[in-house]
Amino acid sequence: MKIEMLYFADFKDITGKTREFLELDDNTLIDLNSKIFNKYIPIKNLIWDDEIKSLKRNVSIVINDHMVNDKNAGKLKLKDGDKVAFLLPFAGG
Amino acid sequence: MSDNSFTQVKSGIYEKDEINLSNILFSLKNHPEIQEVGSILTFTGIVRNTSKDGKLIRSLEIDAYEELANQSINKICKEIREIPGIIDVIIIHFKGVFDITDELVHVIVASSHREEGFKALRLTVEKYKKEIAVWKKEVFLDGNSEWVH
Repeated sequence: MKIEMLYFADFKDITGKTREFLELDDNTLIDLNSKIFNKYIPIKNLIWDDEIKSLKRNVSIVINDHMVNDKNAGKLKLKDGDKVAFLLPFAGG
Repeated sequence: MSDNSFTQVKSGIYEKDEINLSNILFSLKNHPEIQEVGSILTFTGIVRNTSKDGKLIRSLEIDAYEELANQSINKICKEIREIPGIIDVIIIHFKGVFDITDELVHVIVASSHREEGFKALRLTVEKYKKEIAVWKKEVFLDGNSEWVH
């Protein structure tokens, strides 16, 4: 299954990309996290809270341009072709 | 004035310098309900030479998740237009790389009277600051940089 990751701000600087396709073995956010964290360790440091074994509270997930309110990593399912982004708090000009 | 000639400047994310305040005001002066407007207020956010904690800044980068930011901008504009006395509101936020004093954002509120216009302008500014998917990176004089969250 292939998903498209979108990278903004810190994520763009870390990856050096604005988007990329990732192949997942499983349709869960856990698998996506695992792929990304293995590929980009600074992203894990940026968004993962090791104490609570979850994404940090200030991290939002967007799937297909819609904010996901329940970001319980264990339950969230992805579909082939989904466009996914992790976002940190906004700061307009 | 014919409504057919009115082309509204659309709120949203734009590239740096893609549009300026004069373009927006010109558009607004051709609004079909302009004769009901007694006040046009504008807010322009520009690049300051210091960060919040006082570090000197060389430049600023704005990144945006355009689809998401435009959704939020349209939602804010819809909410503000529902306030009695508000005829129209436009939010233009730029993205790209900016020098000190460059314009980053314009908010324009057209209202029947100034009081509701001032309130709506402030509310719109507070909302866009929190709700739109935009990020800024401060590039400091010493060459370091950081995204503000």
